[in-house]
Amino acid sequence: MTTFRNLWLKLTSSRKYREEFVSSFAKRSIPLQIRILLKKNGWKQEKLASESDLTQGVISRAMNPDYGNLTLNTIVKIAAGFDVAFVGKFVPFSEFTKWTRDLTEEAFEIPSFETENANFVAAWGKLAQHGHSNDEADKLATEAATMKKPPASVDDENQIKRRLFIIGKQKNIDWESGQNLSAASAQGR
Amino acid sequence: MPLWRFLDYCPVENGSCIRDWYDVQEPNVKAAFDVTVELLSIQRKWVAELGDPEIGSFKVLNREHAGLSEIRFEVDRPKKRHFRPLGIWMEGTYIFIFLNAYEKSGRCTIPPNALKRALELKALWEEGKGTICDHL
Repeated sequence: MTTFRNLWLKLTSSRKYREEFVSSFAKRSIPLQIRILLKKNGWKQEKLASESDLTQGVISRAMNPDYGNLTLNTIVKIAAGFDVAFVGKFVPFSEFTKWTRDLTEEAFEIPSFETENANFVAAWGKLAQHGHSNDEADKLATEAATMKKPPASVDDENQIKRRLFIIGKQKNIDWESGQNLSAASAQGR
Repeated sequence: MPLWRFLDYCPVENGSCIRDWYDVQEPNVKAAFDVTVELLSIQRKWVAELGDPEIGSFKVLNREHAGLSEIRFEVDRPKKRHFRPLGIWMEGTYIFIFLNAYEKSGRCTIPPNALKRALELKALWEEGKGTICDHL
């Protein structure tokens, strides 16, 4: 397994290697992400082409890891087709290296805006019932809506309840009373 | 975090064929190889299931090369070149053992007989000769 240090040592070999690694990573990780999102959505290339307002040929080329001429415009259109965001960001190599180390296939299985929005609405509703401040509700709702590895076999509403339950366990919050159990237990002592 | 573990087969102590091949490549080939391996390492399935989009950077060989698998990548600067690191794919255990590698140029391989050599290395490994070490 290539560790952070192994990859870092390779990056020290030459500026040319660094340039080529970043270039190759961008060219190859985008087709991988498209493939994973297609599979997650159960879509064919034709469906993505239609949703992205592109031709199936463009999608096919975009999914080829050895095709080197993918344009930013095409990437943004494909993101719009999946109803997800695309981040183009300059970062230091330490951040890039850490990001490549932390990658998993599941990390690319990102929800569409519609799915996230449904999660936020459900979480905000639940949190408002318990009188949480807006800032606190935003923070907890974001955690609930974006929590990794949600249960796969429940509908959205149950899913968000389950996520809030997990966060409640982690943060020691009783959602029924809205009480922070750690604080209550400290007061009781 | 990677799912797959990549290993190098060393027919003689401290002598890895894949490492020898890698060390003499240009930076763009090294980078493309490293990235291809990185991205394969996080993918559960390397062979697409029926109806799913093809992965494209891996192929299980058959006929006279049965038992071997190759990782596939290209570089396109300054000209398009095709590379094929060879190895033993152990799907159930998420292990890939590198044997050697070649560049595909038309119907030729560089070095010549790379596939035959890979089969020889595989036979040596199966006989318990040589060692394996983590691919770095």
